[in-house]
Amino acid sequence: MSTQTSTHQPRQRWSLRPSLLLKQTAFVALVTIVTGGTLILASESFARRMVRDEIDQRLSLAAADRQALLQNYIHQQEGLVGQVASRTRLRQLVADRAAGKIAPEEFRQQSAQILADARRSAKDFVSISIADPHGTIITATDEIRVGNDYGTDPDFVEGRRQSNLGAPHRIGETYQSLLTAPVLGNDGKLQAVVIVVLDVQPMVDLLASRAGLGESGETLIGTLRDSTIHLLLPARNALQLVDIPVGRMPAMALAVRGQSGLLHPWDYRDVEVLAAYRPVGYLDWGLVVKIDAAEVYAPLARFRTIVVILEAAIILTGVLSSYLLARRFTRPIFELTGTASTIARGDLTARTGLGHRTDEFGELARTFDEMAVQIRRHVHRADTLADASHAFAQRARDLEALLASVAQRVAEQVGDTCTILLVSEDGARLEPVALYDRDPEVAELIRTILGTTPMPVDGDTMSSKVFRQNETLLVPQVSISRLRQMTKQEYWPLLDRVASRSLLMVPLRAQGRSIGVLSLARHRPESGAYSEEDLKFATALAERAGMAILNARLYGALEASNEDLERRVADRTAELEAANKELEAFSYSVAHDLRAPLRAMDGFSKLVVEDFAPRLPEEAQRYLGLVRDNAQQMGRLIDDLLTFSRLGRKPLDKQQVHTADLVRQVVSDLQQEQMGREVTIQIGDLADCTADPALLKQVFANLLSNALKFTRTCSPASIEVTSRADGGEPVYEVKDNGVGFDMQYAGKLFGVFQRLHRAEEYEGTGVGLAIVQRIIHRHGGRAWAEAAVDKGATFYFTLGGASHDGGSG
Amino acid sequence: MTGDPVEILLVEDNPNDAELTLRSLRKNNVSNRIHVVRDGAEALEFIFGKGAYDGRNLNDGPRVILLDLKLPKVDGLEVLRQIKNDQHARRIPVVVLTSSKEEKDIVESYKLGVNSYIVKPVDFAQFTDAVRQLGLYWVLLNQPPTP
Repeated sequence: MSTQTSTHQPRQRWSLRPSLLLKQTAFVALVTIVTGGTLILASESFARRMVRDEIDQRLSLAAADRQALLQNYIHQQEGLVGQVASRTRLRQLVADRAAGKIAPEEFRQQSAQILADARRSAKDFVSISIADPHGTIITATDEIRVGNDYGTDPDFVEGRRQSNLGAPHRIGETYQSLLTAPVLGNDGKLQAVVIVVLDVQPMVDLLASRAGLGESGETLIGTLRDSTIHLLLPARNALQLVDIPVGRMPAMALAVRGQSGLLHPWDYRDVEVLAAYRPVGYLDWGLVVKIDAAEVYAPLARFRTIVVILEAAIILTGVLSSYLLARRFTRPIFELTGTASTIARGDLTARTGLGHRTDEFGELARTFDEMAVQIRRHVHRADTLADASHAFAQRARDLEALLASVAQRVAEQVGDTCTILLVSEDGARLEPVALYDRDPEVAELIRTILGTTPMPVDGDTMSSKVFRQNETLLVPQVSISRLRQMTKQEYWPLLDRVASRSLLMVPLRAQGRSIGVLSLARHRPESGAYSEEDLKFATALAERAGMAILNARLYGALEASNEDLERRVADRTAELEAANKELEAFSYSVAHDLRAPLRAMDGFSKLVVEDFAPRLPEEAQRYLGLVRDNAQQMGRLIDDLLTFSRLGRKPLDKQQVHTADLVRQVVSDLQQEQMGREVTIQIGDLADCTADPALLKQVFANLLSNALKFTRTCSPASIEVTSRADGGEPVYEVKDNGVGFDMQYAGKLFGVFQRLHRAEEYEGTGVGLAIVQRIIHRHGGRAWAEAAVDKGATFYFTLGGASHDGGSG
Repeated sequence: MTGDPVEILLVEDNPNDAELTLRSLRKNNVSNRIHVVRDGAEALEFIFGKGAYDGRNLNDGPRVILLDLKLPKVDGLEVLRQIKNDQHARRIPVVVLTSSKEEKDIVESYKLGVNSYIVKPVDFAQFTDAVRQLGLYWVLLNQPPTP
């Protein structure tokens, strides 16, 4: 069994596995991918926000820190310059110079001394100069500066009012700012302005320090000048970039307006950044601390990779485990499918082999196997029914054999004993007509019981009721004791042996009418009780048996009537044969006896002429000649009539005939009649045919001899024999240029003894054309003629479609 | 009951036909040694030397038998059959006389071993033809054999 199913499986697997396995696996994959993907997105967004918040916080802190540092630095520098400006000695010197109390040379020497001291105390001071209130340098640590004019320098202007740190300028590699502060007189009036060239490298370093801001961290300071952001120190990545439209630096734009906060803009490189902005708190300077988003989120990418790998692992595991699980579930399904297809191909012995399983598959397999068993049983029964129908049909000619066969088959298929009861001809009784049990002894016993038990149709035996009511009867369990009550005691031992333990009766029907009862009984303990299914099966068998019985009866009746018919045909045939024989004997006598007197008349007339001619008057000799002529004519008449009548009796001997050869032979036979005449006989390309050659020869002989006869007065006489195809059937023609005939007599032409010419003109018996027509008719053909007086005649005939062989002559 | 050897036995019931046949033969000098019987029974008695011809010397012929088929008592075909069934008589050539060309008769005669046939009334030309076929020409026609 298992080998059988496995040999059929591969094909099934390929068609089933993709659908089930793939579906399930794909579903699991889809679910894990969707959930995993969502998870990745969610976690990423969460992580991103976390990182961003963290960085923002750090940026805010850094911005605040930078601001503090810057303010500190600026205040420090302002303080330093303030100290220089507020030096009493210097103020005195300046005041003296203004009052002219000191010589310029001395002023320069003394002030230079003071400025040099001041410079030494502030290391970032590159140089210190003093300008008069109009901006002209009056003294400086660097002599060469003296005389320079700062009158229009904004830092100088601002410095006239208060300490001021100017915007840094790039000088070579370094950045310098002008640090200015007013020098006030004792009256508080502006005496001069200190101008320090400050090296702002510490500020640059301060801003460049990236502590805690990563690789791309950057601090920018800027101010708003003429509606443009002006970077006070150049950006790390774009040293030349100084002035930037407000729109391209939104964070700085906010900072210079005195606002502080966080922003994630695109910076001057068009790179996404995270930025914190705030005012420096000095003038309108703004401060922006920023870091590249890419750097910030770089750790996120690694995080994402890890999540994706994890997700992939989850998907893979899910898919694999679902595949394995699906396979585990689908294998029994495949085996079931394989078994099903094996069964479908007709091998009803196939079983799943999974019935031992305790799970739902086991349940399914057992149900399936049970179904296969049922199907097998049904198929077997259907086969049996077909087989029975066939067997019944074969015995349809012999009712007795049929009944025996029915009883045996039913007993063998449904068991154990089968009895057929048919209603008697008078319709009064049911008579047992066949009985079968595989145990002949039991069969004999039951036969004895049946023989002594009359079953009137209107009686109350079970068979009678089944017959009358035309209904089946099923008694699964029969009580032996009840049977005993119904039976004479002397039969009890017999009853114990053959008593039915289960009974089944089915009416036998033919054309809707009850004709008997099919009675079944099981008496063997091991046979068990009849079931509803047995009843159905027996009913189906009974149906076929009923039809077969009816057929056999009809056949019997038919056979009887056939026999009667055959006997009558034989009688008729014998009568006909006798009549025919009589007719033959008659024509035989005619041939011999009728001719004898003619011979005598002819013979003795001739004898008289021969022996007594000298003594006879001429007239007497002529009369004797007439006697002879008439006797001979009568002889010919008899010959022709005999030929004619023989034609009706003799069987046709049809064969392939080469028509042209046959006609040539006829013409040569008629040589005698052409002697001394000018005759042309043309034989055309004649179609071959299938005919009796002797008879066909007679046809042509008669037609040609007629043609010769009726062209006697023509010189030259012309006769043509031709054939033409007329719808596949050749038409033969014999045409002459003789005296012809009047078509109004054409109807008489083929009649016996019918003549269209006077005897003294054209001799003949008037039978020749009748013979022609009879021969043609016997071949299944037609004969006709066309003619006109003195214009010749044409005789046509065909030999019937079947005779034609399509030869080309 | 003549003791003379018989050259020709003519079996013919119709006296007219017999007379015409005899005259035709006689006119052609085959007059001698022709014996005529009138029915089949008599023909058989003559051929086998029985009945009226009891004791006839069978060596006296006939040399040839002209046999009509339609005969009283025993018909010609039966006579023919008995002749051809006899060891001795079967050597005598038989020429059948027919009054018609009834095929049936001719076919049957040939089946029984007839040697030739002539259509009645016996025309001498036909007769000599038949005799020539039988190789009895000189014997029957009183003519010396061709050297």
